[in-house]
Amino acid sequence: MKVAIAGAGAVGTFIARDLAAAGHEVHLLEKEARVVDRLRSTTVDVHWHAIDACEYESLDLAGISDVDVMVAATGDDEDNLVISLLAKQEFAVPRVIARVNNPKNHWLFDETWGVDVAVSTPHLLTALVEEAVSVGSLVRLLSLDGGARLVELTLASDSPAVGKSLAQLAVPRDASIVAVVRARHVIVPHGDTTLAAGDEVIALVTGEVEDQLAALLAV
Amino acid sequence: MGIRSLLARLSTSVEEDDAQRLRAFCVQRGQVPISEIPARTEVTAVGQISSIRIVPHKDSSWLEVTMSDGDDSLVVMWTGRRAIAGVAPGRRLAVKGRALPLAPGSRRLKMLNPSYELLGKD
Amino acid sequence: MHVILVGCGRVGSGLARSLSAEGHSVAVIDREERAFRRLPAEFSGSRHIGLGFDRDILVAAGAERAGSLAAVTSGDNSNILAARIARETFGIEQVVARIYDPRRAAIFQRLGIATVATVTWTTDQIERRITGARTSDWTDGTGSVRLVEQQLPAVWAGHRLDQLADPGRILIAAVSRSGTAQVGDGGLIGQEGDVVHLVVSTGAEADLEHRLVHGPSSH
Repeated sequence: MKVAIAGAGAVGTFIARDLAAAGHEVHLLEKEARVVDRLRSTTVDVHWHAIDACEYESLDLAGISDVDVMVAATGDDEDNLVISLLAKQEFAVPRVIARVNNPKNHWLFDETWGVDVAVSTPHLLTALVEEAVSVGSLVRLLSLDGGARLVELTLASDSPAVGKSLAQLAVPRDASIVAVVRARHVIVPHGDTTLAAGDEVIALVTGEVEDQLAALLAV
Repeated sequence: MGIRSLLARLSTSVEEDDAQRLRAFCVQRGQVPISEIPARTEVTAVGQISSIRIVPHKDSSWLEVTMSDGDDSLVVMWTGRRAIAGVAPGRRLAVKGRALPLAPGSRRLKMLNPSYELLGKD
Repeated sequence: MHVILVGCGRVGSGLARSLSAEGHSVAVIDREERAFRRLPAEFSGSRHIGLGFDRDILVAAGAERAGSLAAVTSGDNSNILAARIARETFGIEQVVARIYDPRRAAIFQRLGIATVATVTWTTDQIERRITGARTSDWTDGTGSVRLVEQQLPAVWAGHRLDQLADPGRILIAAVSRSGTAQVGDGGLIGQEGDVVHLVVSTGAEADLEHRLVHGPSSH
């Protein structure tokens, strides 16, 4: 996944390292050239850009037009809102995550400014970025003792599972669908629960059947 | 012209006729048909407004315009607006911007606050 | 009319002075109390210390009854935030934001907010004075079209003035001749003493210069 992070403060740098360590292509945008020079040597597996992320041209140069996720993580709420707006409106970035510094400004962080997810607890940022996988791919949410994992998959409109009931789906024995989230409501699944496009299917699986489950749910 | 195609022409309904004219107009004026708009690439799309919704949003509202080129449709959203002068059903419009899926995983596209131009009928 | 001014710098205090003098009620918001020292002694409007995008401050400044708001702080992002909230949360009709970055100004304009791109305008004015080029009588808010006044060069005498025009780029707005003026070129043949008023797009200025200097045979 290609991720751009605006703001190389403690928060931005931390998640940049975290995501780079997880194998993602990370671009860190910081307007203070001094900060970039200071951190470049210690944060090497990240692409640095000494630019102001509030400027369209700078974002364009940094290659925002094909990032999967934009994280506006500066220490300034005004900047984070404008960065989010530019990312969503000008570059159609699929997932925009913004950090809220002052709780009083939380109400502003929504779709009006292009924000998909607003975060006021910085340590959650990495998890939220990782969750940002495209529809139709299986995401591991949690690993449990004994090799079991909680996974999530959002059904694309052309998923073979759309229109089928869970009974018809024939879920493998070592997997269990534990919840279906539809329009932000959690549905406790039964055999006759019929799946629809856009549903987030949450399942508990062991390693061997993860691929089988993915094949049932995705193209 | 064979009798068969003549009959076919005569039986073409007014709506189909309009749709064909719209299609021809959009092909001529637009950069790409709506059905071929690539996501996240700046394009100019042309269509005719088929419906307008005002979607309440907290203290404000969004203007949600659906425009069609006779084959496919595109949703254009203007945040924080209730109305834009001249933007009304039946109006032809050129919009320029980068489209993104209407909802995650959706094949249909939307543009957010694109730059736009009101067009005449010809 | 009640007017809210966000930012009490030179522009904000100047506006406060002139709007008060015209009989409008004025509220001024600035994050620094000492900024209010710029207000004239006789200023009778209200002063509010805080951020122009803080809902509580805006309510205190009379946002619910204001007819207009001008956001003229030194920060582009603060200005666009204040302007959008004024418009979208409080429904204030006339909203204008000063934006330094010309590209951002154009993007924000699409949100239906009038922006004044001061950098474009200022650089233009200064450059013209440095290079001794024509000064413009009027420039639109985005700095992309201007109206210029030009003494007709001698090479144009005897030639139809409409040859100076270039549809979509250079338009003859008016021609002044012997104490009277008319709209458009009126099919006139140029003569000594003519003054032409031209509307020209930024990209066409070099071309206009060339036409003026070299006469109608130049293209």
